[in-house]
Amino acid sequence: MDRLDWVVLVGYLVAIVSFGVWAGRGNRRIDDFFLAGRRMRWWAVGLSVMATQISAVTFVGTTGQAYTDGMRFLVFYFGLPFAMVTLCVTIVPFFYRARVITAYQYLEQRFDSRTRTLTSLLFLMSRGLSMGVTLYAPSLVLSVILGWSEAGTILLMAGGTIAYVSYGGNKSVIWTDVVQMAVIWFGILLCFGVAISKLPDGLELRDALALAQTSGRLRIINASPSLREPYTLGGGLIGGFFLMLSYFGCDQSQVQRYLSGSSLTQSRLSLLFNAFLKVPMQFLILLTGVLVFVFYVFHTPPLLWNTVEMRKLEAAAPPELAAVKAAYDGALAARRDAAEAFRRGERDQAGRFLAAGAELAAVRQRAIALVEKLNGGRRYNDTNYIFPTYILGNLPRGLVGLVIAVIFAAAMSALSGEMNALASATMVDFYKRFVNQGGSDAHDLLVSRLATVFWGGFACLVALQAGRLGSAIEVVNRFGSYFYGSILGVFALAVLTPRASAAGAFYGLMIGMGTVALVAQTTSVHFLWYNVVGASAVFLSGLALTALGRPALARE
Amino acid sequence: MEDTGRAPTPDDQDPVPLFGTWRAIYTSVVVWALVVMALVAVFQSWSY
Repeated sequence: MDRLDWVVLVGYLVAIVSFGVWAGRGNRRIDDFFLAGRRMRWWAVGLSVMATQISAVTFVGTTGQAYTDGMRFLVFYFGLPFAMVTLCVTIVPFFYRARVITAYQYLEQRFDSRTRTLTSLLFLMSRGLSMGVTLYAPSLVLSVILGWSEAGTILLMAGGTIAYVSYGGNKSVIWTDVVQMAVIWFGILLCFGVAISKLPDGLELRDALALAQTSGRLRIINASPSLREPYTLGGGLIGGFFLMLSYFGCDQSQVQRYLSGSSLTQSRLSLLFNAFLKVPMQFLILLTGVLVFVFYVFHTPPLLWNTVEMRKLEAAAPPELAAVKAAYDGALAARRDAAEAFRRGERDQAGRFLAAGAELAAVRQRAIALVEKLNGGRRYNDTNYIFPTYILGNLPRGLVGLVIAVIFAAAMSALSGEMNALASATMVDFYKRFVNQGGSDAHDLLVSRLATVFWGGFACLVALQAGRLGSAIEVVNRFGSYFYGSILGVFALAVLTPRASAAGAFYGLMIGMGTVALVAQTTSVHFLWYNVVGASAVFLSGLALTALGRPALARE
Repeated sequence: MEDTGRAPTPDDQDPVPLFGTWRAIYTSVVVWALVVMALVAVFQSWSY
């Protein structure tokens, strides 16, 4: 990175932390700290909702995924607009009327305290661990780009975020999210523009799309009815719908954002704002990744995108490496020749282009096998390094620093919302119920700030250990998917069925989580469907248990 | 107070912006989602 890039990056980080602290001044009660005094406008909350969902991995990982696999990931978001409308009609008015701070508070009003405690505890466990992963994933990429240690990037991101969230609470979160979303949007449009402008001379956008189409990277809608295949239209519409209902309706990190709206109208509009923009935004990010793929058809991509691992491999110099490199160069040249012919209008060269692409992928797999052997069998995946490599090599001075700032912005905006949400659930669902119910406003505010620092520190600890945890990260992600849909089922029982009992909801939740675990262990159903399974199992078993429990109540 | 799960009565005095009614806004979101999906289908199958 150039000096100007460093100035831009450091300037951005100092500015965002200072702005966060400034924007968060004036908190007097925990209502102010956790819900920004319920005074926010829809566009600020809407941008904050969007920023909380976008992590750094969304930005670098999604473009990388489009490069390697195409745009089919887009269907993941197809259910989102329908989920937003459903939430606005059903659950949001209930939360708003109940004047709750956490989503789980509502479950005590509707059912009982144990259902509230269990759901809030599940949220704390899963979100606390996943926040560590949210921090760890971009630190890997940024450490390679910046030449820092992973610990350095983790502490910088977490430290900056803790500084403004612990001081200003949700007000800081929302206002910094507004700025961060503006930076992210600018970065997305900039990268998209650069990706188009960097296409080789004489290659029009239409030719680039034709090439991408030939490679299968523009295939988005897959109408296969299979439950095992990832990213089918059914999975996106139905599985994605349930996933988004769970995330935006039952996850405190999102519920807390829109409960900060100054009225029910403002809260609803913030969600509908996302319903309009989310799919087009993801489309743009994915298309940028596809254009990066076309760029590297005509330019030489590295054998491995992670430069640290590549250097290690070259230093170890296994005997097969020279042959792998030669085969890679050969396959690259063959693909470029076929692409040049395709560009000249010889569309019958598509087969040659595809064959060379398949050869290239096979050679890369051989290189990956060498890296994995060198690392004692640890899995290697460099998808997240593709886009940063492209940025570093092709963006003009100053703009590189800005796009790296976008990666920081995406990471910190996701972290800040999660940190504030974890602190709110700790404070409202546990501390003020079980430890100290009658604390003064100043005391409660102090404990809320300490809870924020605690969760920030916890995320750092998880992130610093994540490299050693290895496959445990996958377990964490899987753990969350086991009960996400089940919690949705409890909220559905609360809102849709006036007669559902507390016992039905509590034991239904247990049955739902067990059912999802069973399905996950014994079938190969794609994880997007777990939410459908969990929510349905809880809803139906909750109704059944309520019906079975009624005669017993009547006898009493 | 026990919450019976009944839908709350509308107590929000904010005017509904642009579209006038919530039904119109929700309809526009659904139509928008369908239009976007249709455009995506055209995009992927267009002969470039």
